[in-house]
Amino acid sequence: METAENPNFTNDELVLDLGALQAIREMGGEDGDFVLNNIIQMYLETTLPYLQQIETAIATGDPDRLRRAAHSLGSSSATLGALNFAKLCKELENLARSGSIAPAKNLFLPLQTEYETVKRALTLQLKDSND
Amino acid sequence: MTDSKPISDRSTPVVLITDDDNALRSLLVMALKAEGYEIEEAINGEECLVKYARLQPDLVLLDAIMPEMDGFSCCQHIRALPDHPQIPILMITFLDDRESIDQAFQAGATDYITKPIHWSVLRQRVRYLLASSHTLKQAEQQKNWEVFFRNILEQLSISGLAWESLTPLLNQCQQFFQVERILLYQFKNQQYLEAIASGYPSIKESSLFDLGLESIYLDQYQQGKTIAIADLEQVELSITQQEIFARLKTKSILIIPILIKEKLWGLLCIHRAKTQTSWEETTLERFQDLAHLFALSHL
Repeated sequence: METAENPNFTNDELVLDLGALQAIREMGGEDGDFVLNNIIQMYLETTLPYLQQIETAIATGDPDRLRRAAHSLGSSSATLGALNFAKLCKELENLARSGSIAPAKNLFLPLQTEYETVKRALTLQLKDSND
Repeated sequence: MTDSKPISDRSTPVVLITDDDNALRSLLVMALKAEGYEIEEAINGEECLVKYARLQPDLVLLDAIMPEMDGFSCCQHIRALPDHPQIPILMITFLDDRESIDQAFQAGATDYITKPIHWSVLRQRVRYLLASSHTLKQAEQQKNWEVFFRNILEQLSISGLAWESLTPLLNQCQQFFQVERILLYQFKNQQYLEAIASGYPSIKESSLFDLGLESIYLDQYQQGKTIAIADLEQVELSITQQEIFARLKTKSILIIPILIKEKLWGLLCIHRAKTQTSWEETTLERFQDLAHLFALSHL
């Protein structure tokens, strides 16, 4: 479905860089769909604990933990083309690195919302590649 | 004695990939395996250092931020090692993180690549780094070789012409090339000299100098053709010959006939205890130069 603001992009394309997913598929050759499925599944299994760590780190004011979790979550999201989400993670990582945890609280809700969108979009890809 | 580095005969570059993200690591492995490299993996800086010491890879791909030991510290540790400080280290940073990129270069990284990874950029960058590192290594080896050869030449000029005086020089050659055995044979006096790596048996226990290969290769010897056998199992040998080579632990052999005034003067034989894909052309040429130098000093 195309969006009103960006007629050339579908919703999925705004959430995910589909080119990144296609590159992974191509790398897998004949097993491209299988490879992509595995990578998405690995991602979905590991991301929730990182989100929880971020939430705890913000609540307890632990910049080291926040920095590590935000970095891990962001970099694995970037690999799957979830660039907006990855940029949010990067913002959190930078805040943690500068030691200012307080503004991070305002970023957690958008992070959670974006994560749900990414998860939905990736799950759809998972379905597609099973077809 | 020389402090030259051994000449590597590894034909497939080994890439050590270090990343704590399982998904990304498996994609990196897949992308670079498809390029024909031998891949090893580590999940953090500490494991990378352990594997680095064991495998001596040709390139390290290193995630900047990891738990336990991060990529920056790991990179610094590698650069501080006494051997192979020139190995290319390609650091992976997350998005366009200027701070991490600066830190990577300060730690000694050769180059960096950002996540999300553009796979074609990664392939090109790895290819380029390996190629330039190979060229640097070759230049260094050539420099070492020139110093070594000049040193041998000087020793020959002052050590007189006694046949036995060649033994220490052969020992130096054995160490320089990191081969297991070198033999120099002179047909006229039917005498030979031997240099062997520690732990390998002497040829004295065998009755034939070239272990019976003369019957197969005499024509080539007389024409001055070098015999380079990367894997002795690929040659049809008698059971006795096979047993002798097994006892000597020789799996690969190089035989350089030395012709003086078109007559067969002798042979220089080099034994390796492991099979190879092939004998490198440069190694062949260097042994040929040495063979002729030894012969000319003992005409």
